Amino acid sequence: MARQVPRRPQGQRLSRAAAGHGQGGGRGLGPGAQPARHRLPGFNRWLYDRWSCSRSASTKRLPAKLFRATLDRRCGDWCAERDVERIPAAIRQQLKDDLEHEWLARTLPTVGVTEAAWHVSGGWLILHSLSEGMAERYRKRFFRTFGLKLVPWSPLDWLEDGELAESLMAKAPVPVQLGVHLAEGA
Amino acid sequence: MSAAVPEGLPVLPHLASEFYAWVWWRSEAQGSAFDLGPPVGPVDVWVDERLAFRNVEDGKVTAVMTGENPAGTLEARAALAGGKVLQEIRLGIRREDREYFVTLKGPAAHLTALKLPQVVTEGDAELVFERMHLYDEVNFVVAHLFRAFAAARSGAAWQSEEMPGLHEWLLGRPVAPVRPPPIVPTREDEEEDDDDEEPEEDEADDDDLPDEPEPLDSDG
Repeated sequence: MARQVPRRPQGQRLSRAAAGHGQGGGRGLGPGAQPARHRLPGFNRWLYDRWSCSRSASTKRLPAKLFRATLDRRCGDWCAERDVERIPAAIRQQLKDDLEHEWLARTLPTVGVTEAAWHVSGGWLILHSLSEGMAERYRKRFFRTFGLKLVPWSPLDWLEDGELAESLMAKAPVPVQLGVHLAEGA
Repeated sequence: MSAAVPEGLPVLPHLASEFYAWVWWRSEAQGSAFDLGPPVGPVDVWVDERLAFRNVEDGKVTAVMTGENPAGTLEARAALAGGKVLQEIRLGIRREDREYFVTLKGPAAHLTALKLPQVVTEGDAELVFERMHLYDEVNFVVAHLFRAFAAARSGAAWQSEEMPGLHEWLLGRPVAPVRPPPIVPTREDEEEDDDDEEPEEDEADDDDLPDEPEPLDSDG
């Protein structure tokens, strides 16, 4: 689970009252999301300052090696029909686009659901994915929906003492010192 | 604190690796017993069944140790002694009668493969609330572990005591008793301490009150 910290672009502290729909067009989390709180029984007992939502993404994938082999065969057929040795790049691209369009129409999508839990008063959000690509997509939609910017969380956020965090940031790594040769212990 | 930095605090890869190694060493030197002070209290932390190493200049895992007690194997210590750093560590945590298992992964110490104890067995909403509470608890304990590491790493004893002890442990020599990790006071502690203090008497109030009458002599 990756943690993200919501931020206003101007650096203001996140609050429930400040959360609103994002500006501009495009889909945010609203239309595609199904807030889990709406499905929980005893809605009034749900902790008021926590949110849970999910984002489903349908992905179509084509088998890469089979696709490449089929494309190569079609290119070979095109060359054989015209008695030429090499196929122009533009024609190859056209054949590739046609094949892709044809196969995608027959491919069933794979549905993936990524969930997120947002602790509004705590000011952090947990994303149930470690993929940077998914995190980036979530950041965009979060901003479009709530007008808030998510920033990656750091272990330094666990420290309440700002001076301690700055002290740690100033420390150089010590992996070299840990590289003790075993021969020294012999 | 983080609100002052609009882009968030940096994720330092070497810090997480040092934290993992420190927890591993400390758990072996202290017999898994950690006293993190209030409000966490005593917890047991041990390395469970996974250690993953990487080279310093690389982000990819190059060696993985699994199975029963990989932390106790010579290969694991040899990987660390040979210059590799920890990328992932699976910890077992026990606080009171609740036992958790979590893998800390990568430079951001993501909590993955989290196994929570089951306390509540009935009720949909109760189950959700319980999981939320238990997640908060394991995050709470790991946060205080990191704070203890941060205090040790920043302290003067890091070079004089911690690093030599870690080296001795890497070389397989008997480890001398180590001082428990420093207890970092939290904001809750400071607020509670403020509540415990008796309110200071205002001297101006005393001047406003009339003087107490002198006690009568018992002889009349």
